[in-house]
Amino acid sequence: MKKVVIYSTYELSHQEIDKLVEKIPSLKNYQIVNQVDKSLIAGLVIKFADRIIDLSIKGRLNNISKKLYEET
Amino acid sequence: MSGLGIDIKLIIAQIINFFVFFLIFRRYLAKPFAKYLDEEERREQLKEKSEKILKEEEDRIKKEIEKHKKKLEIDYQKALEKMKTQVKDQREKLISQAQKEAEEIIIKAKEIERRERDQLEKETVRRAVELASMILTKALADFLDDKDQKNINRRIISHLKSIN
Repeated sequence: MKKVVIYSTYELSHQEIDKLVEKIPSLKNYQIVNQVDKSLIAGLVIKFADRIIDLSIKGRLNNISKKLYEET
Repeated sequence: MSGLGIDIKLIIAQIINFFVFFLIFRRYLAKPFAKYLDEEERREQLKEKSEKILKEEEDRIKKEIEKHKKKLEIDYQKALEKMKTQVKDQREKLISQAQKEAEEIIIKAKEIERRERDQLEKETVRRAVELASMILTKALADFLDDKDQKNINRRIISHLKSIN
């Protein structure tokens, strides 16, 4: 079975993981591995083999910085 | 007559003597001398004539020389004027070219300055954004506790639209 890694700032509970699976049904086909990464500040990053879903504060901040820089 | 002391024979002899002398004088002295005087006069006239011709020739040559001098002077002045005009044209051309090159250099310098200024502005903005991002990251990391993080995760998950 393929693996998907969910990075979070703390260890996610089963309820939280189940709610995620509800929102992202394709996660059912994967073996979910949860890793703690404090650098995310808050939120989650879901890393598939071929894509990444960035729901973290850190990711948002990076996007904002990028947009601010591009506008100049 | 002899009582007066006049000798007729002597007088006749002297007269004959005089005529003979006159004839000899005329033949051998007067004529050559006259001839010599004529010759001298002729030479003198020839000399005067030659001198006159020479003088005329000298005057003519002087006039020619003067004429050539004037012509040379005129040609020289013309050439000098022509050269002055050419130099002036060349100078103006060089000045115009130098001005054009100076303008091009100024335009290029302004363009480089503009580009560098833009680059500097972008760099300044990038660093400012980077710094702001760093400060905000640090502030949020310090500010958000576990409870806040859980709340944020809950809100993220609840607001998440279905993804396939």
